[in-house]
Amino acid sequence: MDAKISLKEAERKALRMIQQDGLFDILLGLMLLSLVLSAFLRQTVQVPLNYIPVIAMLVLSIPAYNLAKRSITTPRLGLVGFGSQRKRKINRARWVVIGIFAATMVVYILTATKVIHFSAGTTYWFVDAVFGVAIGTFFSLLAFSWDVPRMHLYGWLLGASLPVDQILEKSVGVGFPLGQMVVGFVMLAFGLVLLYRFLRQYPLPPEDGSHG
Amino acid sequence: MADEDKAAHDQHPLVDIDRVIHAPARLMVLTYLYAVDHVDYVFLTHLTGLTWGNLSSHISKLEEAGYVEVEKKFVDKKPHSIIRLTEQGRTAFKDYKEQMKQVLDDLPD
Repeated sequence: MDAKISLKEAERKALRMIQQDGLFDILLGLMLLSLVLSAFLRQTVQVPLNYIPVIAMLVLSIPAYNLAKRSITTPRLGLVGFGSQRKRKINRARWVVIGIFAATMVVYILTATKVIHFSAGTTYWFVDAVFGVAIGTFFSLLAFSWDVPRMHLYGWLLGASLPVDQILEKSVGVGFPLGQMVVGFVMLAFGLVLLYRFLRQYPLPPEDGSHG
Repeated sequence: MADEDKAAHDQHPLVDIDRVIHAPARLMVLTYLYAVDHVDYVFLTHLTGLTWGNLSSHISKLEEAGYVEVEKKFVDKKPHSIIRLTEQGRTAFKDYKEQMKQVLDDLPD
């Protein structure tokens, strides 16, 4: 029996427990690796075809994730629903995330249409660094609203990988996003380790009894 | 008898403490139920570390007192017993918290 309880910790513990199955980490890792694969395929396959892995991931990943949650997590861990305070926190973070996404898209469109023109003197990895910061902030907000600290790590690693890949391409001639590939494998590895630990820690309850 | 109770309370506010809540395991269960909206038995056993039988007996006592309600529900064709705090339970927990705070705050350092 746990000796240490406080109201704040009680809610956090419940929230963290549902994030310990590693499934979201695996999903993120695979999504990122599909993007890397599509960039890699661009060297050998014609442009629309190289996006097949990304499209396949987009179509299959969410149903597969939901199915995995239902068949792996729920039978082992059970069900929990959170109160209005946590829902409000998640909603606040959602609006900030939407704001950041919208601002990033506006900057991207303005840059692509040359409305904002970076002068020749601007460092070539500057735009990637800006997008990197946006990605890092996005993940940090996820980490904050879900109480999952490892999302900070993923976000800032992924954010840093954008300018790093740009630098690697220009200076060493690496033709595909090596940094993003490393981050993708880090996420996938974290996810698999967490899933393994989760399966060991929470075995299936006996079939004869109730499911909760 | 009522006079005796009043006298006892005047002597020490702990006499009035809600004994249904005051048991450590039930207090822990109520703390988790207060912090979230609802849970099922499986989740609550993982949260509290209590065994199935132990948890079941504490939930029955809390249900008898009207502090929690248990709803049988099917999720993906599997039965789940969803447990949530009632309004009465929420109020009793808040009162208990205040009472304990008062008692502990009054203690000298």
